[in-house]
Amino acid sequence: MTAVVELKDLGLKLARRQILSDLKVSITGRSIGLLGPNGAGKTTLIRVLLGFFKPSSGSAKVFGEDVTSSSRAIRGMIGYMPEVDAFVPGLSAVRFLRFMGELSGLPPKTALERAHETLFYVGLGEARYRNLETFSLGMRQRIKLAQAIIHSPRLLIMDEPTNGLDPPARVKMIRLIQEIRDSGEMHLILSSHLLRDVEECCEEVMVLNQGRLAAFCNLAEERQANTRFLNMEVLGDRGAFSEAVTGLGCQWAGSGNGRIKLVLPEGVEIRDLYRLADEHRVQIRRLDHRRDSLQDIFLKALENGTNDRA
Amino acid sequence: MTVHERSFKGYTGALTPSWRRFLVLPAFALPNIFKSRLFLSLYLISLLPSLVETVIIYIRHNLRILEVFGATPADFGPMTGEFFLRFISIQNGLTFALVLVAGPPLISSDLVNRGLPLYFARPLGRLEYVLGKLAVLVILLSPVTWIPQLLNYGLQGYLAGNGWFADNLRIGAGIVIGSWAWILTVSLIALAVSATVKRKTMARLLFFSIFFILSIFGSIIAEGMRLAWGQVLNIMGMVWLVNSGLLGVPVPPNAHFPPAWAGWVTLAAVCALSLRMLAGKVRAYEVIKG
Repeated sequence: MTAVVELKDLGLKLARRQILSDLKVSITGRSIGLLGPNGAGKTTLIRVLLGFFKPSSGSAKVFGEDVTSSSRAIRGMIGYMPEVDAFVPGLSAVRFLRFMGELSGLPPKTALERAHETLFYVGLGEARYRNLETFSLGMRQRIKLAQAIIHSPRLLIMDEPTNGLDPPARVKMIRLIQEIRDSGEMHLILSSHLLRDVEECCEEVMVLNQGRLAAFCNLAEERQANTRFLNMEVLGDRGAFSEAVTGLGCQWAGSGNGRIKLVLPEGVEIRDLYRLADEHRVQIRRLDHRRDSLQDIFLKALENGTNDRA
Repeated sequence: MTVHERSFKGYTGALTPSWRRFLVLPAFALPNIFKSRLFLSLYLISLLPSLVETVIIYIRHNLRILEVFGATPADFGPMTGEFFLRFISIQNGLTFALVLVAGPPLISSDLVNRGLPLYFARPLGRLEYVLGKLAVLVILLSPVTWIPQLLNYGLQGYLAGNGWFADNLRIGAGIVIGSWAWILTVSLIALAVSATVKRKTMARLLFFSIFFILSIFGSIIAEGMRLAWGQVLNIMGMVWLVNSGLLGVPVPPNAHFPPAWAGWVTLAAVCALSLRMLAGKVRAYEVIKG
């Protein structure tokens, strides 16, 4: 299967500053989150993928096409929602979308039809004859999304799509992105510094820190792996119970107040723990899966990155 | 009323050829430009010289009307390149006003509203973007410059007969080449100014200064210091020099002008400088140095 994005030792220098360094990753998932603190290089990486900046070293490919030699072909397959407020003044929403559609190669009649459809899809149907200058921030975010999808791209790149939105508008935007993802029509790259946005919309996450790849993980696999990690709180003779748990092949570590952390090996289920607890007259007062949230992954990645450089 | 489903559908149909997508830009820009009453009024005024020229050509060949006014064809002077040059010069002045209104906002409005990434994230290059913006001005100016002039030239040839047309092919070619030289020069300067100065008013002021303040300096140098090369600062003067050369009109002996080739070199240099400025400014994102 052709990778959606493939980076091979990608590096970028702008104005004598190294912005991206040694990025190496192959992304095949349907929805990819691009995470990182401010200034990590997320937006710059997007601009490299769009062909706005040429790599100083290494290479970047989108759907197997090189960003330097096939920039035009790549831009034909991409829909881009920029981070900053961007529009063409003096046009109504429907005319603006038609304009963007025609620039992407849609025939005029089709562009007009799709402009209406897309505006209804993003929830701006009632405002389609209004001039863009009169739009609120939330509406402008949605029109930016609409212009990015009107030509039905294979890859939709969104740079901070919930920037500046109030909570209800953010929820609407996230729901819209999830709908686009679930429609299966296109791949998504969502760049954000908001972990929740990425967690709610993406399957894979790429964490950037100071222009380097700090982590790359599949969120679903990560969640699956977490189901083997347990936190427990027991009341009773913890020593005998712990020995019995070791006998099952579990690795464990205890702390005060009867708290135990353990890893279940393959073939051992939670019901086995309850059986052992019953045999050793121990009460299990609390049992939950470790939730290694995206925040943990993110913080670990940043910490590792800092340690590597120290 | 059409009811639109709230669902997203992919598009798998044919796309338009990429070579003609730059024409989408004028298709959407022109209606907006004509929304301005000031521009529309100026545009109509710009058509007047050609109409007057048409009337003169018609009357000059209509003996009945001449009899009514007691005039003869000789009263209108000979139908040479000089006749056409006079009207071309008036039209160039009026088209300058049109470009002053329509030109400076063309790129600056995209820069101010950070619209350039929206264009360049699509299969549209920087060259096509500039071509599209240039096409806006070329499409606007053609109907008030070389097209009516060429029609009048055709009318004169038809009414004069006796091989006038064949004898004066130079005038026809001169009208087309000279008008295109003017359109390209004035348009590229307007676009370069528009890409450099983001505020419309400031851009208009700069555009005006390039033509008038520089021409005053040029004239002072040429007339005051008797240095004909000073006129190269006078872009309108250089356009006049190019047109007079193309139409075979001799430069008056008392006018301090450099040779005709200097006109061409000046216009080419101005166009090259404008393109250089556009190449530096028309980018999806600017890299901040330092």
